[in-house]
Amino acid sequence: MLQAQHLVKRFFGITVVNDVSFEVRRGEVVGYLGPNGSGKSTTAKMLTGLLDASSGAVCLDGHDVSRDPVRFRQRLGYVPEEPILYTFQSAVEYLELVGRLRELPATHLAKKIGALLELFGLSHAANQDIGSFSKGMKQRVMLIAALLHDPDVLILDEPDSGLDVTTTLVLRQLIVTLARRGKAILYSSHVLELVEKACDRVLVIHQGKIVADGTIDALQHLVSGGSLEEVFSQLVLSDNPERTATDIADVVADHA
Amino acid sequence: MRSRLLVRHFLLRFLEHDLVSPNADRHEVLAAVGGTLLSVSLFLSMITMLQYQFSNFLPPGLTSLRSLDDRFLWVSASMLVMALLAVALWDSLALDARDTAVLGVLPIPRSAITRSKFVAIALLAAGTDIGWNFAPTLLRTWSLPLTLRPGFRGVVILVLSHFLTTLAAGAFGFLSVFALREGLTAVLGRDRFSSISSTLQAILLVALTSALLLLPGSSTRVAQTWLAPNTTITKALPPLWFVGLHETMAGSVIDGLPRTRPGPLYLGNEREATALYRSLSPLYRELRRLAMAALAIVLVLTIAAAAWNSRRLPVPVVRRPRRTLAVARAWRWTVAHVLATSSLQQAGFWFTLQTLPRRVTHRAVLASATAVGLSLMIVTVREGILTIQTDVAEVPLAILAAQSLVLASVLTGFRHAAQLPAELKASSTFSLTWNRDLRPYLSGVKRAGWIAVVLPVLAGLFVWHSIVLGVRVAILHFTTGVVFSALMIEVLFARYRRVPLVSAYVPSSDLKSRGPAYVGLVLLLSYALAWIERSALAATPAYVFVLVGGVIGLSAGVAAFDRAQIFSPRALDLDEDVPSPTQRLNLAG
Repeated sequence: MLQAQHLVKRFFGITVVNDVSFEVRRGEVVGYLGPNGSGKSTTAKMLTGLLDASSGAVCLDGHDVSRDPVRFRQRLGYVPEEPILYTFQSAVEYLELVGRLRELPATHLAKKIGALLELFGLSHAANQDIGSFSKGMKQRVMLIAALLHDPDVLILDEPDSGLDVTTTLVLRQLIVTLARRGKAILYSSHVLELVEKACDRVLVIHQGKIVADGTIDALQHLVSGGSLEEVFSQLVLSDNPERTATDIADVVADHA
Repeated sequence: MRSRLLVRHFLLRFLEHDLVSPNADRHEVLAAVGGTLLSVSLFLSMITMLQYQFSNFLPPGLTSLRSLDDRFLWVSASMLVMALLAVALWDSLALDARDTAVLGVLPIPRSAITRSKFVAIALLAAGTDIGWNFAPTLLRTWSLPLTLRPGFRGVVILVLSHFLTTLAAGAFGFLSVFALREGLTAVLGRDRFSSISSTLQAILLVALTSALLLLPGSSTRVAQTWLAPNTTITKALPPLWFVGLHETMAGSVIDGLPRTRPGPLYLGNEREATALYRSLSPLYRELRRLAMAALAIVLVLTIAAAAWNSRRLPVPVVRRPRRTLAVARAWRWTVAHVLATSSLQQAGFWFTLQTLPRRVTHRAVLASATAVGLSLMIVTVREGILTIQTDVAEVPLAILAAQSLVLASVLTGFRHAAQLPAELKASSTFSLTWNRDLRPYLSGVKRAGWIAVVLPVLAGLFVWHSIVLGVRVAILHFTTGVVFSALMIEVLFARYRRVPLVSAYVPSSDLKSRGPAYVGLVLLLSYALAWIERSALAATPAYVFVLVGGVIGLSAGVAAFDRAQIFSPRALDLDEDVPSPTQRLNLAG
């Protein structure tokens, strides 16, 4: 369904994403893992069309999305890593704006917004300015905005960031349910446990390159068993976290 | 040491976030603002100075009177500029929830935080006050005819008096706004004040900018007008208090100069001028007392209210959930079924109505445009502003043209406001949902602009016209205003191909050449329209005929002009032209 074909992104000559190719099929949840600065969000932005690729292409059902980006965005839902919203609007006003720009029928839109705000636990704050929202609340607004038009493709860039435990659990279940209903989902997260439970397949990106692509079982087999956390550690971590932690504690304790 | 750090933190925050956009280059913007402040005051000083250099034989009596006009100008300008600074700072004049979040968790006493905040405000205000009044103080000595020689002591007194009175007037202007804000917060509470804060800020901005624009015209013959006996406003006009303060400090320096026999040009006038100037001496003393008392009162009020409001560090204001009233439901129904029927129209309509009053930049632009319009109206209509006109055929053109001038001004402001993004970073919302069809969205923006910006202005003017012209003519004139504004909004947005309130701001490259031509054209059109209107007003059928004919002809022209672009379309560019890679949003296509 959604294909990334040899995506490359360079900023000032520095290659941030290097020849990344993968496919997210209908009904599939693909986890996208990598340490900070590995190129996850850049890939997500290139997939959504918010960032032009230096080279490569993004295809939906075999068609290059750059030929008809409007049609692609009609089928796309995107939650960015940072919830940047119009802070002077209320949650309802923001969601109405998104719905109207997506040309959703007015009565249907109002009902849908009300129901989703209720289900995401935001109905009490629906008319408050977004500027006064916590990060988790903003994230929930972004999630609703991404789901409002029932998209076929969902790109979720750390959607769990700032969410409380209950909403995180709902999100995990929601991702699985949406996939069962035929959505193609790319799910980037730092919470490995969530990825392990929600995703059918995992991509690991490190220094701009895909270093692993397979089902969780296959990856575990690749690095001789263990949890996804151990797989991730072996693939991308160059330092010993325990040693780094001890060093940090030592510096903190230094009062001289 | 810690206090210094805090003061520095607050000062930098004023400069980097509150006065200047965090995305802008601080040094560049500060240099531009500081340069503008200095160059405008220097330019005005030169103008003031030159009038004396061309009247080198002006005797002391006439010089004293003319000097009163200058004092009024400088004192008022200082007061208004400083009051405008306080209005521009507005929300930053008090600690906010951000300060609590950042500083509240550190082991710093609350009193140290509040004290540092007020020291930072005082430093910023004092710096601006001194910066604005520096050039006129420096050139004060040259604002005298060359033949008058007050001596070294006299010069020192003149310079010091000018400096102190303008500084005091500036401080009064700043503190008045500060005291108003803090006083209302203390009385109403933070929650209620926050609901009226932006409206109050906009009203102050309009009033102060209008006063500033009207100042040069009202700074003439001060002794004969503002200070004339039996003038009720004299003691109610704050600038005059500080003029009185100046005259009690330095008035005798020029007035006390020896009178030689003046030239034939000034012979009679000099005696009268001296007598008039000296007759005002008791008034100067009274005004001085008022100035001192007013300054002390606003200072005490500000400190008391600010101290009261700073008892606790502020927390974010959480508003009670709003109930949807029947009026609000009816309004939403009207918008959805009458004013903006398609989804995209509604998106543009509501987004505009939300952005214009809530974003400080947009409010400032609209308030300034309204102030310019009101000033133009007052200048053109002058004393006819409250004269009741009985004969339609004899109505001064200025009264009829005023409506078009004010509308043109506010609509130009609206177009400029539409060019400013509501929140540039959040524009990605649009790039993810945009379907490239600008027309319905733009149409929603225009309709919202007409309702939010034009309708209140037309309503205000209608009240004035009903009094001056009578209800029948006022209704007809109101109709002209409706048609004129609807056409003008179409003209202003014809061939507009960026997304209003979303795309990055692109300054006009040829403003200097087009600006004056545009102003001239608006003046010409306003008076031409007023002339046609006056001719047609005598008979209602003739009026309707002219109006309908004009509407059909002009709207056809505008539509053709706008449509002409469709046959050679440019790519709809939502992307910003700013070359900086950190600001690119890549909103294209």
